Amino acid sequence: MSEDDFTDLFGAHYAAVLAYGLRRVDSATAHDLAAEVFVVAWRRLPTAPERPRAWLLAVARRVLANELRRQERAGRLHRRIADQPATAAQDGVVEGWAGDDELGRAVARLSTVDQELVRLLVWEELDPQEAAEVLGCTGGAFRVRLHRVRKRLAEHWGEAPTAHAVTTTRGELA
Amino acid sequence: MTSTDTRAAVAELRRHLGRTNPITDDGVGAAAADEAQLVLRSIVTGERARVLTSVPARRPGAGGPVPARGPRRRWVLAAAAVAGLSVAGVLARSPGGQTAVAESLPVLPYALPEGTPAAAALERIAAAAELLPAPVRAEYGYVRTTGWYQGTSVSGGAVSTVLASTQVELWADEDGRGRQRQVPGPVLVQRVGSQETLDSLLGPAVGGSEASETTLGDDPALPSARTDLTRLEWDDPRAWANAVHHHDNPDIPVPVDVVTAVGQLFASQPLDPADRARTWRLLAALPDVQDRGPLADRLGRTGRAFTVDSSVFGGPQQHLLVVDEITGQLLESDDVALTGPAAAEGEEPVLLGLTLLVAAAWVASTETRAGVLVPGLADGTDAP
Repeated sequence: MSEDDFTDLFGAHYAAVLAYGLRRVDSATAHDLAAEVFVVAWRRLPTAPERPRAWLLAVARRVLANELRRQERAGRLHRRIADQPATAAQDGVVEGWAGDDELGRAVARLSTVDQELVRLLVWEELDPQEAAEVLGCTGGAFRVRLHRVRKRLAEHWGEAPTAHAVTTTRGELA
Repeated sequence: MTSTDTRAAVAELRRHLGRTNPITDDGVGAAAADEAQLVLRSIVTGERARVLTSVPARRPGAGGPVPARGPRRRWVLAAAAVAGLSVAGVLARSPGGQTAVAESLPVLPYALPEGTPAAAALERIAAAAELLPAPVRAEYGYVRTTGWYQGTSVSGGAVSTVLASTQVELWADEDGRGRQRQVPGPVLVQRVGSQETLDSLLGPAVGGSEASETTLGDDPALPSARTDLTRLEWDDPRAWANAVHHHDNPDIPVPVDVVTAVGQLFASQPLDPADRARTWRLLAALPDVQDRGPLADRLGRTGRAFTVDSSVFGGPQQHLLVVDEITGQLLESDDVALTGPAAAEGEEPVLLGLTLLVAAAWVASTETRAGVLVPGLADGTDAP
């Protein structure tokens, strides 16, 4: 990929990749994640991929999963090193699904992959084809998974603010 | 589900859950603009390398505060900055918080004999492991490790590094659910670049002996603690390593990827003799893995050392495995920087991390422990 093409790719998607990280991990790791994703893109891509955002977020997902696992393996060192007073607002750490919210609790009960599916569609605003690419599954498998997610969430949406939509969903799934 | 249904489902999810989005793209764009230009320039000029090192990730649902640590500390060092490092001796921070001169660094005397191709020795180990009976399976795979891991802080061209020890016990069932118990240990200061960087590493909670517990399988952001060995591609080393590592990085040579994956696999679950045999045969088929002969690990257990060299992680490194020649059990895995940022030119190799496999066996419950691995003996048994 030429430097100009890479600069265009970077300019178009850096914020989205950074946001992907910020929604999942602390600010410093998110910045490193975003940079690392584009290092991989710079080294690997002969041309811009067909769906660049999906390709970049798929790399981000793998890099992040590996990093989280490595950190877990390395024990609590880094967490202890970082154990200094700070607030989420200061460091941009996300709390995930709203803890006191019924919908948030419902999503939190989904499997890991299903939660990521919801994040990709709702937070990253990917279309289903892009989200399927990030998750590494086929479009058909993605739709089946989406169907299951709807069903599982609908079971927990009894008092959701948009009651009409929930009722409609339940009706469709019945 | 039709395409119309799919669109409706997506719209519904967004309608219900859109307000949970913690970061808006607008905010990201404004905050990231300046730094983005620096990142872009560092990538295209080749200055940027792998940097994900020591800052903790905060995952949804995890408790406790996380520091506001700017990315400026985490830039990969340019060669000039590395050359300017100062080394201020070796200090140890005891669990009680007092700092004292360490008697020694926990680094193996790095005088391994010249290597020879590892295939024959690995095949012998695989054949020996294969003769062992399969252990009786129980609900939980139990692994106990003791490790030392390097943490690095970078700021203004100054670098400080510490080695902190931790003991980890892990119980995981087939679905990756279970328990993890970690006990921090002493911290050794390897390198002092500045007071700021040292302070950032030696926070008030570093060291100590308070155990922490984690329930496995509840954190949606973490990959499963357990690798499904039946789904690994044993005839495709790259795919095998990718699955164990949960990554896909073609920049890492296959032998390096596999050797590091082997260390990770053994540290996360017990492997039956047949699986150990398969693992060593997988490694035996790869080039560049060197047999370094008999070597005692840091617990004094005699095994056989195998190494592979790499330069993909920011400088020349060597990855070491010490393997019990009779059981095929991994006893220890080390990552050592030979030269470069972590071991400045002309210095002795520096330990980046090591993991000792203390125990590994199947146990009935998350309250049951297995006995210490002893070379030459079959899998550990339940300990009182």
